[in-house]
Amino acid sequence: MEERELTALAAAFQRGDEDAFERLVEALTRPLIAMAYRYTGDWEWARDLTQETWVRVHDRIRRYDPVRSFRAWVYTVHRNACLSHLRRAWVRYETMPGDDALGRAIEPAADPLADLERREFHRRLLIAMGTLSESQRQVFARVYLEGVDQKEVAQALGIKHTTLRATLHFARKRLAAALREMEETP
Amino acid sequence: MTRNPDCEVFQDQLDALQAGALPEEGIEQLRLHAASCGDCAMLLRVHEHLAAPALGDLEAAVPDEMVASVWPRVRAEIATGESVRLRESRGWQGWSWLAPAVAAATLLLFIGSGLMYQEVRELRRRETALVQQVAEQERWLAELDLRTSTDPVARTAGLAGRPTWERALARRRSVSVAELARMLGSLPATTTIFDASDTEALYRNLPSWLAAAVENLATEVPTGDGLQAGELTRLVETLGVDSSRRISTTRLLALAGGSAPGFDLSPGAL
Repeated sequence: MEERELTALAAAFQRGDEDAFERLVEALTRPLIAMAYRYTGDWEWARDLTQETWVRVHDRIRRYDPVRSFRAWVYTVHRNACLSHLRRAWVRYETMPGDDALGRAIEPAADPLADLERREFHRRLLIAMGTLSESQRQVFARVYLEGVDQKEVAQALGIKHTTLRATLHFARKRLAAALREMEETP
Repeated sequence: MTRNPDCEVFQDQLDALQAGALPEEGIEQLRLHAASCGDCAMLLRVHEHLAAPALGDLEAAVPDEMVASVWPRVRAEIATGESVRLRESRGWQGWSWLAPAVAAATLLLFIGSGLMYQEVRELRRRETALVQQVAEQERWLAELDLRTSTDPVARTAGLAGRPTWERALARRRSVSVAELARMLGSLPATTTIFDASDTEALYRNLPSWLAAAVENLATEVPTGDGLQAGELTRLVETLGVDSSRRISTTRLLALAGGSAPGFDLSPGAL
């Protein structure tokens, strides 16, 4: 759906049109689930977080400024929901993605051992993200988990591209150190 | 990770790789460095882990049923949220007796606090009066202590505002009869040394061996207005006490302040 159409639907929803809200959910749910999967590595969590994001959007639609991109606003709400989930997970490791039964049902692994290894690495990576500063986490998540171009991220965060690159470098160094430490002490 | 120049180049190459702008030879260099550097190898692994599948591919992999299941769940949660709020608001109606009960309890507490406050205020007033009394008594005790203290400094400090001769005496532990006579002689003859009540107490407490001599003098020395320096000089001269005899200044000061009723003027004490 085009950005203009999304914004118009959002404006209609702000005026109380619940059907417009349903159409927005239908239009953006798929990319939101995919994005949440990158943050969690778990389809169940991805769906739950997407649901949580839409409820937040419903409750906070009055805060949305129709002059700005609705898609970007929803992605921001979603990113915050995903990072909040990770923060909770960093406190209680048991909520980290583990046995993703739904995921296995969706995409049966050709090589179960490699799949298990991939899931374990993703779990460790998300734990390692807990060692990053808030700004490092924001930059790393947008560039690597969401696959957004570095210059776009710099523009969205209101920082210079060189600053973003430096932040990203430090974030990667810290991640590598944390992951290697986890490898040494399983 | 050290500040190895190769590692810095690796990071730049990783940015280019992430942007899809690294040529084949650059990728080859990247892999060569990663093979010899543990931290950079880990960074490459992170990159490769997150690069595939691409977000677009991931979107395509999301099953339609999962996408379709989100809206009913969102709608149910929003509806449930409203019903929970309504249930919560209705729930308070069953507790309608609570508000007047809390109001009554608050009123009782308020009245109780007022009465307690009055009681506390009265106790504080009494406490203040008692503290003042104690302070006054302590002040008097301190003054008495200073007058009879053997420490010249303390005594001098305690005699602030007193006559010069008293302060002069306070600086010494004892004084001879001759010195005392000289001191009295240096004062104007009309200077009052003992007031009427002090003089009366002095006469009343004199030992018998001295009383007779003083009694004779008393007829000549009127004591209605106390004893002045000139009168006291004559008294000392008339008594014929050995002029080298030393007298404790503590005793003299106590005598002058009238603070030592029943003081001992026996030769041994003097």
